[in-house]
Amino acid sequence: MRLDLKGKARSYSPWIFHAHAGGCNNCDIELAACFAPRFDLERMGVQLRNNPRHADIFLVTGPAPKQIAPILQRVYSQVPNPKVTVACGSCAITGGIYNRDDGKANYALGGPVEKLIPVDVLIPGCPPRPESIIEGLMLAFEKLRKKTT
Amino acid sequence: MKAGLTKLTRVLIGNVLRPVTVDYPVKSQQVRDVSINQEETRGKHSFDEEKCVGCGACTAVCSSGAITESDVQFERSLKVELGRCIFCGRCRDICPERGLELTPQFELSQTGKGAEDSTKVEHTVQLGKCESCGRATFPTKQIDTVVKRALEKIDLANKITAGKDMAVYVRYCPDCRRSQSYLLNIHPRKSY
Repeated sequence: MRLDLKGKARSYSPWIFHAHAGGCNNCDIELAACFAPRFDLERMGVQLRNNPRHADIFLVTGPAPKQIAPILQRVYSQVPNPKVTVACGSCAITGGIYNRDDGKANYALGGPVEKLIPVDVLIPGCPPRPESIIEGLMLAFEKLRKKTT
Repeated sequence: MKAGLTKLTRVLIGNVLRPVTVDYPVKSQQVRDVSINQEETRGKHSFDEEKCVGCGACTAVCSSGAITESDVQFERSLKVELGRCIFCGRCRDICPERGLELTPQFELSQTGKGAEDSTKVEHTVQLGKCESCGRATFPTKQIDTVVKRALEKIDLANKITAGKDMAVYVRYCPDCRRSQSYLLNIHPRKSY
């Protein structure tokens, strides 16, 4: 096994970039609650970054409308490898209430996120509880650990 | 005023004495006991095998189209796609038999598409068979409950006739019922 100190350090303190892809802002509020004192994600070494180039985990919320879709792909490509993508909320996973199987999907829907970029972890809920987001992020950390080593 | 002040002091002192942060993934049981109201939390669905009659009211009322029903031969399967569900609880509220409940289980995250089964809740009910054409009709449990409920509401004068008719026509599909209503002697106007 190769001693990859950089990779190990990265996997134990993953930084998150939060991409808001046209949601209703509810998942974002729950994500803010995750970083608030009650659940305090920063005790796990997580930091919320404003720059995709600093991030390890790419967290997407919202159904990704057509206008956002190319920008989302561009921002995704700016995140350095290895990276883990997390789709947070029902909209990001399947399109939620904007998407229907019977051809009645919203005309502006460009997503779901899985159609645009590869997704590693799914967090269902509308919005997911802060606890569910933390649980999903724990899965993402494990995935990142596997990808780095 | 005084009560508010005492409450404020208690909160202030409490903030100093104990940590506000909940150690979630380590002490998840503590979170479940303290911070989550078990009855109000809407999480993963669970169908009651005995109570659910398979009427499909939940599929009709689902605002995001997460619950779907599909009839394959003589089995109707109700499927909940948790990735699409918005956990509004309308399916639970509309269910006439209280056969669908939302459990407080909220930890539904999963990695990738490989674990697709874990995002779905499935339930199957048996469908009846039409005696004339052999097609699948309605769920057998639903027929029983509907007949029972309808007979409760009919007045005594027509109850015996209606009961006899119902016992005949629940065995047929809607099309055969319509085309053979004269032969089977089940036309509703005969009692007028």
